[in-house]
Parts: sequence; C-alpha cells; structure tokens
Amino acid sequence: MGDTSDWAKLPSGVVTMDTKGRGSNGTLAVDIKYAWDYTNVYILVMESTNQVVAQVAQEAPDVTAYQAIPWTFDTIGFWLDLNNNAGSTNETGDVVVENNADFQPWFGFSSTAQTDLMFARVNDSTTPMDLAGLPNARVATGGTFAGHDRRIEVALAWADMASVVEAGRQPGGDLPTAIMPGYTFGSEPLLVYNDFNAQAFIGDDPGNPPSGVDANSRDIRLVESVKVVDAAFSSEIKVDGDSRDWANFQSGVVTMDTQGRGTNGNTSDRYPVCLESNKSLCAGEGKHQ
Amino acid sequence: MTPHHRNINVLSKIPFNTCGLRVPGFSLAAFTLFFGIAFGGAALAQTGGAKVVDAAYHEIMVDGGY
Repeated sequence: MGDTSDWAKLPSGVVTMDTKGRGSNGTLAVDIKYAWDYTNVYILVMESTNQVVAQVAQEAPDVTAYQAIPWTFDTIGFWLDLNNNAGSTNETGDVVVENNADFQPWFGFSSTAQTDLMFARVNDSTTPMDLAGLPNARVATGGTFAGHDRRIEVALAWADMASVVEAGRQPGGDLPTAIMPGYTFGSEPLLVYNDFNAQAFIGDDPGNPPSGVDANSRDIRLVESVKVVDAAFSSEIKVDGDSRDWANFQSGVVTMDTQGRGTNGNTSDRYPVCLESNKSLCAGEGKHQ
Repeated sequence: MTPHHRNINVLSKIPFNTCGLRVPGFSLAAFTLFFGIAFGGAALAQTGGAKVVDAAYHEIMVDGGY
C-alpha cells in the first residue's frame, strides 16, 4: 500500500528514537522524517527494526477509543515550538519551556490502515484534546505490526495551526508568512509503546520533552530539495570511453530518462542516461533497451 | 547544505534575549532591524544545542506509503 516514491529521494534528515526498553514488552523504535511545502508540513513515522523489534502491538480500534485515552495505544505526539523560543527568556523573565508546546498533534499506529487516529492540543499541554488546528489535516497509516513496517504519514496545514495558536507563539506573529527555506521550528516527539509505561521523549526523561536547546532537542529546518551528489576526487581518470576506471570511486549517481516522450518511447522502450560514477555499467546506457 | 543555510544556523544560535539584556543601550530595535534586514523577517529563533534536521521541500501524497 502507498506510493513509495514520495520520500525516498528527498534530502530530508532522519530523527531516530525508541522507547528504551520501558514497560514490559520490549522496545518500539521509529525513524521520523519531515518535509514541507507552502501549504503543509509533512511528517513520516516509520517503525524501525534496525536495532530492536517490538514484541506486542496495542493499537486503537477506532478514533473514539483513540481520542479518549491515546496514551494507552501505540502512538506518537509532537511538541511543536513554532517560534522556536524554548530555552529563551520571555518578557516576564521566565525561561520558555518546551513542555508548554505551541501545538501538540498526536497520531496512532494502525495495522488496519485507519486514517483518523489523531487529535491535538493547542497553546499548552494541558488544554483539551480535540481536533482544533486539524480541520484540513490528513493522516494515513500503512504497514502492519506483523510485518514490523507500520508507518504514519501526516500533512498538517500551516494555516490551520496559525488559526488556533496564539499569535505570540507564532514566528513574527503569523506562521504562514514565515514559511520559507531557513524557517526552523522545534519538534520534540513523544513515542508511546502499548501505554504510558513505555513512553519516551528523546533523552532520558520519559515525562518531559528536551529543553529545546540541549543535545536531545530537535529543530526542523525547511530546506530546498536540491539533491547533493558526491563527485569523488581522482587524478587517474582516462578519457577513453572505457568506464572501468570509475568503478572504485565513491561518486554518487544521477539517473534520468526521457519518460517515454516522443514517438519512439514508452515504458518499455526508453533511452536511459547515466552520468557515470562508481557503477561501470548503467542498464541500457547509450542504446535502446 | 548551502552556505546560506549554514550562516543562518550559526546566527540563529545567538540567544537574542540574553544578549540584549547584557548590552545596556543596545536596543532590541537594533536586533530587530539587523535580523529583519538579513533574513527578510523570517522566523529564525534560537537553536542552541538542539540538533538541526532538514525538512525537504516537496508535496507529499498522504497515503500511508513512504
């Protein structure tokens, strides 16, 4: 299920975290990625089996059950610091703490592809759990616990968050106008495995998010999607049409094709091009397949 | 990461409020003017010791895939 091409080629970074063996059912680990456009911030949460494999699933059967007691299910929440001021001193002399999140959306894991396991809190952690700030949010779940490939994919509209978060908590008082490359916001995920006995922020404190300015804190920075490709150093390239001297270099690969355009190309008759690097042969290079 | 982004990152680690308080007479307006001109009013608050993770620009089809 799902289009696997969206995220694979993006230069988004990865946030890794796990529940550190808390509770009685082992550990749940996830990888998290972010992307953005001028309408939404996108979040992808992927169950990770690189180090551990979760032993027991505890998923919400429906949205009603989820929203009632979300911390009793496999779930993840995000403490968003939209003006990224946690750790600084406010006008009253108090240090702004990350736990007083500007926006706090939660999403549940599902092996049955549910698309509505979400809620949010606004302007503080103690406000009601409802759908404020989520009228246009989209959430989809994929994978299964049995396959240990569960994933949650989310789109949160910048304008929706701006409509409910206090202006003083927004960058420049207006979040949408700040959305551009370079904008940076705090995002501290809370991962819950089975229930609150096995919950984790990044770091050692399961009950409080990082400060926003320490090594456990994560700031998300919007960047353009220019992909950087490595070009290896060598003084031994012979320009002779023999590509074998490229084989041992650590250069990246740029791949492209003509996408079936014109009258002589379709999906089975394309004309691929490889800007050669460390692979001595590209399938179909220089000729029709 | 472009040089532009790297510069933003370094500057964004300056704790605005602390600096303002420790330099009498150096008004908040000066800071505002400086950062307003340099970054077009974008929100580039402090990062401190937080780990910065890039989010790529791309419209995503929310379908549960990856």
